[in-house]
Amino acid sequence: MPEPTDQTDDVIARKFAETPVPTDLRERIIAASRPAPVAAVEASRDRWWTGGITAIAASILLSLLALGGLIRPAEGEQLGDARREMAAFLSGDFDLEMVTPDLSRIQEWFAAQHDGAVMDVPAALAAMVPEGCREIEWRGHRGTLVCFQLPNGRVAHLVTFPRSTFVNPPGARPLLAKAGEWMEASWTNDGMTYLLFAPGGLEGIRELI
Amino acid sequence: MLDFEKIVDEFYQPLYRFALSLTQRESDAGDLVQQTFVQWAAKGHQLRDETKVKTWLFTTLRREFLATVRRSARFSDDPLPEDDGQIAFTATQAEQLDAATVLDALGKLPLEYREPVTLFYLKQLSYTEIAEILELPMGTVMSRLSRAKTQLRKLLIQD
Repeated sequence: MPEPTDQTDDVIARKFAETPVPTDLRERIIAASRPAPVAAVEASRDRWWTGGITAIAASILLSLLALGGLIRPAEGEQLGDARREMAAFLSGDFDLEMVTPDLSRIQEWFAAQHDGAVMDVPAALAAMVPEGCREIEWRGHRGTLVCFQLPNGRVAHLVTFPRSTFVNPPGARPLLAKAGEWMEASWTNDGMTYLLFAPGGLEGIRELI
Repeated sequence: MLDFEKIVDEFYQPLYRFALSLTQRESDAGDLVQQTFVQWAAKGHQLRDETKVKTWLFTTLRREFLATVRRSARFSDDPLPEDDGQIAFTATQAEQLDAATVLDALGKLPLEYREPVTLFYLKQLSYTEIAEILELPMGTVMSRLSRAKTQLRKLLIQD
């Protein structure tokens, strides 16, 4: 129950209530908290059919949409779409292009993939043992995936795309969201946007960033 | 079972205004609100008392914010002066006031005063709920609120 106020309080409260709220905030909240739909991520170099019938169907659908001019990568993508579709992709089977526990090798590979960009790996994540990496392609955008073994035996996945991939890239401060069976943290640093997917809850992903 | 979207619809706007007062940055405020609801989606089912949804959300948002700011920047060393009497607006002053001016003035208050006065001006929370959200004794809240309201009015009249 609101407390009693005088007229001046009422004026201030009324003006404060006129503070505009971003028009897309409600949708962002809903999108960040709902489960992921079907995967729509393609492998760029190796066996893209390993994802099974779902991936095939998604590929055909993506091709048809692209032919119809409905998908135009140059216009930029929604971060929420990447979050959902990557989450679904990571829940399926895929191969790694390079299998190595050597983070420095992965960093060199990353720089080669992203025009010399330095991979931004949070210190806690860098303390984990890498499993390897691969290139990925999503909606016509080239990106990279680096996988890390966690102490509990599960795996965290760091997906990276150029910042220009997105119309609404996150800021420098990690933004946490639920993404299917994963918790996801996304942030942008030095022209690259990172999406880190980890199993478990908020506490689990916070321990990595 | 509480409906997620109904809760979003009811609280996302006041939560955003509280977050904006805390952060003074639209992008940070939006992120804070989003993260608050992500937490609700993950943990809200643990809340046994449905009447506590509002204070749970505001408390969670505030804790998220405090976790992101350094202790040194969190609280001022200088308390605001004692409440030296109520300042009232003239009709002209009230007419000239706008949301941006109020937000700017709130941003000039030290955080420990900005928090209770912002929650007060949302006009959706009782003093008891404000004290619960801020995790402070009622007397402390009332004292800070009184000083903050006086200081805020001074700032608004100066503008």
